[in-house]
Amino acid sequence: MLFNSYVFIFVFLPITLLGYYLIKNPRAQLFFLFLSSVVFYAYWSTKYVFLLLFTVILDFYLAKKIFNTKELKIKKRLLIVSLVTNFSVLGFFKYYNFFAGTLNEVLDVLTGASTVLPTLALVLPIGISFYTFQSLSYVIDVYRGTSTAHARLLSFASYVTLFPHQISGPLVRHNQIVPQLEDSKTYNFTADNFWRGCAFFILGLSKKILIADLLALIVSPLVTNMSSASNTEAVLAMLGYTMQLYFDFSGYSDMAVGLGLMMNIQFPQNFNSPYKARSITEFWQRWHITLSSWLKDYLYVSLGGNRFGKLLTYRNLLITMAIGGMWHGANWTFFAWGLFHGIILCTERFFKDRNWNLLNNNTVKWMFTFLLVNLGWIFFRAPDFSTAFLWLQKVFLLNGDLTWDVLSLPERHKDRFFIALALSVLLAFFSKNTWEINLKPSRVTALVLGLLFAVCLMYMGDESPFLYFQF
Amino acid sequence: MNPKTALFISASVTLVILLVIAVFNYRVDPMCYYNCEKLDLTKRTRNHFYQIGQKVLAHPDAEIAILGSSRGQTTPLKWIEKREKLKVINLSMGASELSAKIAFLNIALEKLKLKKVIWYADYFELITDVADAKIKNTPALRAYLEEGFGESNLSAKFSQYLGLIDHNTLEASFYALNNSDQYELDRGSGWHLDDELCDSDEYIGEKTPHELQKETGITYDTYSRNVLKKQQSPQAWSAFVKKLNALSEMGIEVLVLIPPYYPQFTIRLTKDFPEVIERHGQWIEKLKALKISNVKVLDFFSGIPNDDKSVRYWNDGVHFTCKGAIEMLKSGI
Repeated sequence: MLFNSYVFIFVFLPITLLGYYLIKNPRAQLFFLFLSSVVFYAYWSTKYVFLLLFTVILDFYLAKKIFNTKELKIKKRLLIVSLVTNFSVLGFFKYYNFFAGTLNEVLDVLTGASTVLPTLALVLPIGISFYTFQSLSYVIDVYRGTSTAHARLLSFASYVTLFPHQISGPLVRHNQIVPQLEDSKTYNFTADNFWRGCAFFILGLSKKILIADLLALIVSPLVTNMSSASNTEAVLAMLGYTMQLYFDFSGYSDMAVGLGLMMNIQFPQNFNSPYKARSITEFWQRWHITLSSWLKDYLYVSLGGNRFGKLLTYRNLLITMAIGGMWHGANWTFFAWGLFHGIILCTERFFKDRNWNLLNNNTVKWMFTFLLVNLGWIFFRAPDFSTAFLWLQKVFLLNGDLTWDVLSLPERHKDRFFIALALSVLLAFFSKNTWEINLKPSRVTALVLGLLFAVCLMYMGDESPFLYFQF
Repeated sequence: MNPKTALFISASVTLVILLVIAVFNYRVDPMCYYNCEKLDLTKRTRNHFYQIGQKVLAHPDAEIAILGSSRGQTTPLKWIEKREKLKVINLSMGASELSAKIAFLNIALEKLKLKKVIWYADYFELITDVADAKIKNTPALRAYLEEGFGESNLSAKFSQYLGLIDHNTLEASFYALNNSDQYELDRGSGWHLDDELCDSDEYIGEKTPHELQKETGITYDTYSRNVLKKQQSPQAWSAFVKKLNALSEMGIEVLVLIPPYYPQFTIRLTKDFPEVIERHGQWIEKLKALKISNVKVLDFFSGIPNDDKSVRYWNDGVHFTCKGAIEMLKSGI
């Protein structure tokens, strides 16, 4: 079920909110919330909802066992059971075909052998990367001793399955959400939070429908037909996708935060004007913050972080970013994107360690960072390396036959694309983000939000899935 | 301000805006969804399906009907009229699927004395057995839908009324108000084409070679990924055969013409999606195996006669020019 659909806004959400607040017993309210989240997932697949519940139950009891065991060896074994099971499920659904395809290609080149591993018609369970990481982080925390085991399965299950973040994050931590779910105050209606929740939701919906989707109408055909795109179109596709991804994903995150607030549950900030960053290091402090901090806490630190010298720090950074890239999808282009960012992060660290500051001007720093981010997104978006390199060639005018037309831009979407692009640039570079805007109830805010919501509803017939659903 | 008051204001603003838009759209009814019970020549609408119905009404002397999608829109009607000595009407429309073609044919059968039907067969016309919302939601057209295509259900009704707040409807309403009497009820697409030029060696096409290359890429993206990958519906195939049999029984001659795609398009499609080409082959075999009197099937899927793969014959990856159309029709007319 998409947040930007009539069925969600006019059927699922009102029923969920009504049930949530009409029931007057916190335990029953929590159970109702859990049930709603299961229905939300089951709306997509009644089969894979059991996979989600399996992950929840397994990790809850493993964490409990780890917490109650004194022997380190057994704790470690239990952690390994959790890691192996979770990564096996994730690996099978998300990476099996990628692995089989790569292996077959390599063996074909080396030995001329035909298909060694068959590819399977697998359906990727929606949100699997998000819920696996969330569930796993709990087991790791309990193992590390940084958290106690939660007493109630219902609280933990409600945290992992919670519908606002279930499919595309934010990648929330159990110690942020479970205490809220176990606090009886959460279940009392708070008009102020509800208002802020509605505001966040409408602003997120507007970002998605009025900007990201309008950009997508042009970007998608341009990328698919990069071979026939002109140089102008290649640049437009790059800039368009950069903005589309930000407004799509941050729009989703805002909506998730808004839905949480409607139920008195506070989610962390996931985006903080990332395109205002003046270095890639700063970019990662502003982009998909919950994933960056997850990767830092559970991967980078586990690899040794910066505790074993500079060389190993660079290695750890590269590994973390490359794996972070692959988390987004089973394609070497994601690996390349992660590695690209890893290399820049290492370079920035190298310069910082030596107090070298080549770019003194903040505007130049910002422009250079934005260019690097754009180039990275080319690998992120391109279906394969040949498209990515062709796209790069055209952006840097390195293709032989330079052309400047915009014939590939469908006439009926062209004007809207340019308006959305201009608006996105203004909002991303010069405006406050959703968390910085003053959302205190006032007549003007109420009017603007009412108007925005009406416009969004008028455009909702063309609903499209969020980009991060595939991850 | 109290947050509850702010929520109330926001909700009220949204409701009022949507209500005003819905009433406005209902009154203007640019798509003929709410106030068009019958086909009417005086009505002005943005619903292209309704406009086709109006064209049939406007030309009761037509005896040949052309049924096609956008691929049938470059047929030079005057060229056919000269060869057949009969009046022609082109009922081809962009994205026309089987349900639409049959609905148009039913209107033509009711209003005209048809002697011949030229049916441009498209693989994709048989993919869905659900009629387009612009037909289902239009009372005047719904009546002509074949049984099984136009069943009204709750979601169809819901979508019809959601249309009242849709931005497309609002834009169409404004357009309709500003252009209330601007369309010509001619004999359909291809009426204004210069048939002599199309048939001559001087014909140079409408696109440049660069545009052809680019637009082939664009159509490839649209058709290969969104349209052609889907399988045909057995129900649609049955309805198609049933209609051919019905025409045959009425003594109406039918020419089923299978046009190709642009050669580069087909090469790319064969490489990227061999299963799609295989399904096309199976469909063509079924068409050619039809044994219905008065029905002639012409298969040009492997190429247009004399095609030099240039802009003289092609506008993009799937749309041939008027010259391409003539080269194919020559062997059937």
